[in-house]
Amino acid sequence: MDGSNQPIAAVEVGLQGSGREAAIDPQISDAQGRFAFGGLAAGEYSLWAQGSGFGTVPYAETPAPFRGSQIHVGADKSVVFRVVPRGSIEGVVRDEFADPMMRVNVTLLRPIWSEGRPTVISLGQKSTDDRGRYRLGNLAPGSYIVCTGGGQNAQAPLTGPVDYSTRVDNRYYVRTCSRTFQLSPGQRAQIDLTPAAGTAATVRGHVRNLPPQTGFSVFLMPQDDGQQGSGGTAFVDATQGTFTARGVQPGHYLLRVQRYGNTTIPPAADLSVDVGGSDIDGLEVELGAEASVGVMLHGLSEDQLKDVRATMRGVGTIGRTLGGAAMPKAGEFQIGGVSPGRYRLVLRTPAESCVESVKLGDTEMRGAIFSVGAGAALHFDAVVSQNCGAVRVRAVRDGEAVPHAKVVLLASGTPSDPGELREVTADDEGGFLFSGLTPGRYLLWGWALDGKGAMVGPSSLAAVEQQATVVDVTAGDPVKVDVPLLTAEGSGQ
Amino acid sequence: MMRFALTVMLACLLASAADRELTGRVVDANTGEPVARAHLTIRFFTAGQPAPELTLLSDADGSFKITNVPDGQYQVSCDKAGYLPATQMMAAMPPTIHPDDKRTATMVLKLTAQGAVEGTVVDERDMPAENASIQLVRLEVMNGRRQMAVSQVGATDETGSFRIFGLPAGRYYVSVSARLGGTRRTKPLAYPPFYYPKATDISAAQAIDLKAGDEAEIKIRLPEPVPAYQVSGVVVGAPNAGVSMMPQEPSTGFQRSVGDISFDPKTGSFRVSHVTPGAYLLQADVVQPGKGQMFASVPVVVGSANVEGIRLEPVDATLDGTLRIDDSRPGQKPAGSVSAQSEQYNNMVLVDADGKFHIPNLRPGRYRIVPQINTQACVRSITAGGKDVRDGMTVTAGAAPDPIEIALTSHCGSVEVDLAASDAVLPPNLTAYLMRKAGDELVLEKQGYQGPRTSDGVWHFMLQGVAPGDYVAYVWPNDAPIEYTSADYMKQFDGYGQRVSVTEDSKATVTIDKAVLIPAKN
Repeated sequence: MDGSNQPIAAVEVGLQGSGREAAIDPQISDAQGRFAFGGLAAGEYSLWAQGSGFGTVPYAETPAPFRGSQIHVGADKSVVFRVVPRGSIEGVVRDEFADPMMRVNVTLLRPIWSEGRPTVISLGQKSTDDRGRYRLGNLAPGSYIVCTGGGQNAQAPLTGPVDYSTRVDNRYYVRTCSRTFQLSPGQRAQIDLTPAAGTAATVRGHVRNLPPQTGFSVFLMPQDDGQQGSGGTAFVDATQGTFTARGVQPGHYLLRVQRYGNTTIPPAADLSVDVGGSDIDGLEVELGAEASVGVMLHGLSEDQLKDVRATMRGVGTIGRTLGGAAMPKAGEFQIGGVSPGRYRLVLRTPAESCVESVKLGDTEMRGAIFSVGAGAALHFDAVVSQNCGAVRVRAVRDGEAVPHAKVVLLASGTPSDPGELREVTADDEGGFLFSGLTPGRYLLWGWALDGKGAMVGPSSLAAVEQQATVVDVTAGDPVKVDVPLLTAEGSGQ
Repeated sequence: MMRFALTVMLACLLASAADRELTGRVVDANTGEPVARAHLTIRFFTAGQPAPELTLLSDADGSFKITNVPDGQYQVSCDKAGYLPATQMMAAMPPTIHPDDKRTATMVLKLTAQGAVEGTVVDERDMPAENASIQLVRLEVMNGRRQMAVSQVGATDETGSFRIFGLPAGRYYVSVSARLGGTRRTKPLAYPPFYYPKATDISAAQAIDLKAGDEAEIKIRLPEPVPAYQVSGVVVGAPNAGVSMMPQEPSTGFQRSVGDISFDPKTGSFRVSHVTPGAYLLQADVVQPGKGQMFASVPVVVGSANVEGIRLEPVDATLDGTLRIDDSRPGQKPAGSVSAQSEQYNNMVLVDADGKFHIPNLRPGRYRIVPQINTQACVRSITAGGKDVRDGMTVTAGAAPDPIEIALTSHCGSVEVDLAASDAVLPPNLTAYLMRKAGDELVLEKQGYQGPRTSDGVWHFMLQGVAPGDYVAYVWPNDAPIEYTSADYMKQFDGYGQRVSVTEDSKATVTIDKAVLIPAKN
């Protein structure tokens, strides 16, 4: 059906099991919009539809990332697949003389809630044509922001006779964004953008202790909200260690020196940089001797080890960065190239298993913050147990289940300093099973992503600490708990 | 396609910075009207080191001016929506002295209106086809030979619309590849190779002729999808390989890759899915540790079933030979390189102290052997097994060809080509070509750029190190699409070329009345 409950005929509908393979050939909806799949084994399935005017749409999609919700199939089941018409955003980018700007990028952003706070994510970008036009299509209804300008390639031209000896070469088109706006179903929004020309700084510096024969880049990542992606990038000269990032607009940045081509390796150095209107010269960044962290896992078979992910999560300046782990060798994970800082260890174990303890020497460190010094080599021993608990949640409002709500479980840390967060979307019955939980106390929150009371999410978990649903998990059968959904009023929004 | 292609490198200006300026004007090449607010990017080089770019807009009358420019060279690029980046390299312009004794370099940048192709693509059910890839294929002349090459690409949006701009005038063909939505089917379907308006081969496609400033609008309807199959197998040796599959289109030589390709470097196994029935060439570029780049290819015919168990066996076709200077003084050893050049590839190796060379990693095909040595020398003969291979030899996979013998002589001749064309307005990039006849074909032996134009209106071109022999000399702009390898094509220029014989250690002079000029397609 479409948004106004009218059936849509001749839509191709496909069904997938939990694997990526085709469960069964796609069906075409009939004149009443009906389709049916028979002979299905019980389990979780996902549905998608493809047709004119909406592209390929998953069933009950979440705002961002665009991901479908699962359908729990026990006995025969009937679902209403509401295919909401897609909208588009188009417009013209013009310069200060109202001339169309050719081949400039327009970025599409969407406000979302992730890793403990509201943020924006980039959904991609389009380049303008020779008439300055851009078009972003196939968009689900929701909140969007479009931006243009910014970056080291957005140099703004001078006008009139130029005296080379007193020239200005820091005039850039600064990042210019639309306000956050709501795209309604099927809407064709017209948004023209005119990036303002402003000054930008050049940031120069030097990196000490560069390892030989490795490529490093310097990234300037904006720390101000809504500025995503407008920082600078520069390659670090491999022999001199120097770098020059041009077109950096005023703002607060995190300067990160990182190996390029391998984002799974943690940053090698971080530095806070405030950029004003003038150039910054002579920044000295020292690469600390890379530390390493080893984790020996006990209690899992070789087969199960394949499903373990060991990551490190930075705390404080390093923010939300996650470091990946190398492949395990006989149960041992090695995370190399760790820059000095404070971290938490996050271990994702196979379903039905959980982390019983993480020891650094004799000290229990499960969920705790630890410091890594330059050149340090830390070694953890983690014991994985099959003696775990689970929580079957049901997202409710006024006692009624709410389908496809967002549910967040704080697995380690505190609301004001969250460690591991499990963020999920409940199924079409408002349910979700969190399994592999170490027995103990957990906090849960939920909110609606669409329909009544929809919100991006709370400003922080600390702001909604009082509204948390508390559950004590013991080993064995899942604990059932209703999670009353947050309302916008009580969540700092 | 380069964004800034109108590039002018100017040599040193002699005055000091304080009294030196750079001025110019941007005009429409066709109308001569000024182009206002064109985006100019100027980069100065002082002692070879680039300074940060300076970007400015031309004024309402198309002019621009930079005062107090530094010593050194500078490079100017120009960009304006609706126009092409020009494709001509301009030679150095001497500074002019103004009455007020300021040294001023003045340039006129001529912009040619761009062409564009836009339109819509619908599928076989007349629904807009999203993400269809549109390739504009253009007949280009490379090394005197016509060949089809992808000129620009575009993609449709969710309404099936596309627009490809920045096109130079010329003849284009439109190749369309689209992916059928909902690919997770148990029985895959795919669109067969398709060219506008409804051809499966480029030779049956309809051409789009664009003049400068033309905009063409086309409507494309995709054909019925057909059952598609998988082609799978292994690249022998489990190497690091890039696998591609291309329809065999001998009529034009245009190659486009088809299918969705996956390759597992651990096992060397590959799988090309969504291949429609037809004849293909399956290829693999292979990098094997210790062996370098190798190549494998096998023809595949896809009918109405998956094709399995294909073995792509990398072969290392090689050429070996010796290079000597037949009249060298005792103790003089040739130093330099030898390249094997085909239409697509150029493999160059150094010659060792004994004059021996070994060219590995060749794809099967026809190659010309081109020696380049450090001393003044020219080719006397190139043979293999006693046969003359100066005009090329065929390399086959696995077979060991006869060793090549390259005989050079230091007793070369030289040719002065004089173009007496005082009445014509000539482009600045004229080049003289010395051609050798090989059967019906002309083979390029040597080329030389223009010298200074003399006061009597004669352009002189000097070509040094020419092997003794008989040649035909021509003059044309170095970017002109002259299909000199085709005798039929060259018939229209009978009378433009002049015969010249070159003997050892002597200079020959040949006078040409007219340059080969093709009118611009404006």
